[in-house]
Amino acid sequence: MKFPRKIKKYIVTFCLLLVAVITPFGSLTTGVKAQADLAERDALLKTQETVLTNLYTRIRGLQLSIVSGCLAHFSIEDLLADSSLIAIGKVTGKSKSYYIESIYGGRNIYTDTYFTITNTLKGEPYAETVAVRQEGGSIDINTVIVNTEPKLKEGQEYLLFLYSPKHGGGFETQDDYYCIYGLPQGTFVKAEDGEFYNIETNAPLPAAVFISPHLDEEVDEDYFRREAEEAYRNNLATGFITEEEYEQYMGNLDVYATKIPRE
Amino acid sequence: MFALFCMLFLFSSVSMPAKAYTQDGQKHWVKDTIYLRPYSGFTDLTLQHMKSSVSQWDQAAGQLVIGISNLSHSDNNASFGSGSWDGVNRIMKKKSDELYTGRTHVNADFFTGYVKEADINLNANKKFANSGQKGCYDTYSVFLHEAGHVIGLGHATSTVPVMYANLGTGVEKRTLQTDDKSGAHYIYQVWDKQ
Repeated sequence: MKFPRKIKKYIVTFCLLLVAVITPFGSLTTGVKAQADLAERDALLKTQETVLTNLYTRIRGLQLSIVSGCLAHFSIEDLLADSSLIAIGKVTGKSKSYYIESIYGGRNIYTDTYFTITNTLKGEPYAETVAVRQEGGSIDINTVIVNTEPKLKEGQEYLLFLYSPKHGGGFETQDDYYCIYGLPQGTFVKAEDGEFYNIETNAPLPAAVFISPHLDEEVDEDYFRREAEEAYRNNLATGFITEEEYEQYMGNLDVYATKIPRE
Repeated sequence: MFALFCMLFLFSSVSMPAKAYTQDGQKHWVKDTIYLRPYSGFTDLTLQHMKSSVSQWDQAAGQLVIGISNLSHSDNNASFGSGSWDGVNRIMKKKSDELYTGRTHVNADFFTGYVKEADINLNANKKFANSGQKGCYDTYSVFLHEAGHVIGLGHATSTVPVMYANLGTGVEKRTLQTDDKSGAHYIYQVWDKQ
């Protein structure tokens, strides 16, 4: 089980050793070609040393963030009733990862998965291909791995329960995007038999989903905002948050985060 | 002979249930004890629950891997987790998205997997109480789960352990199950010592 950790070490050590072994040969050749100019060889060695040092520093500086969490439990009934959009479609691509700066100033990395819809069961998508925002990705030396985010594969067909928060207060932005409601709980993969199975449990999607009365209901756009307000009121009553925090959270529901475009 | 073999097979199947614990997807573990600093806005009862939670994990791991610092921090607006590492292991109650009851961000060394920093957030966007009262998430249960992520455990594949991925409202999961303990024991007494 320790194998992957060792492998990483070995790969880096091996690369560094390889470069260290090759370097003198390269330098020697250069030196043979220009025997008269030892200074040039020294300069070359110096450059190589600098490159290696920079490379090593960069590797050592890699920032790996691992995100896990305890998900709220959502039943199929919850997913049907509260999703803003329930749709079948195919993953057609992914965006470059980007930062979102929260209303408090901290940054986190997100990546959009492009989902081209072929059949809508509930709600109206804002476009034929929609952005499904997923936390995680890599930018420069920063990598964020989110264990709870379902891994959507390009070319694969899915049935997704999606929602649009429609309120601020954290990392939510005001542009058009969806999140997967319940994360793995709301992600169903189309199998070769044409049926949809949960991405995590492999449980088949109940056939009753396709005839649920919730599919004909109008989407309650303010549902998640009301839920947040109700949670803050509850948390004030149970003593989980103070009066001051309550005021702050309620006030921030209309304050949105900033998406930072990649250059 | 065949009957004996069948009996042995049956016995082994019953007495050795398949493990349900997992190590977190990107393996990490604690080398030097992680002391978490709670936000000063938590109540004394919640703090007691946090201390009790980490104590359970330490016992299961067979060593002091995680603790609650006597120092608190007063900034619940401080940057949390990924991309915002500041050297302080924080416990917070910030607003997170509606999908999580709690979240753990771990900053691990890319090569060794050692935890350099860890932050835990109890999502103020969900209903919490210091009990499993109807309609609320129990702070103790959520924190116990998150502390398991800090020490390197992923989600369990069966529903009984504390480390199962989902938690419902009105549910108290305050005691580590055999599978949770086995996971912590494995990471710190078997895997890390290989």
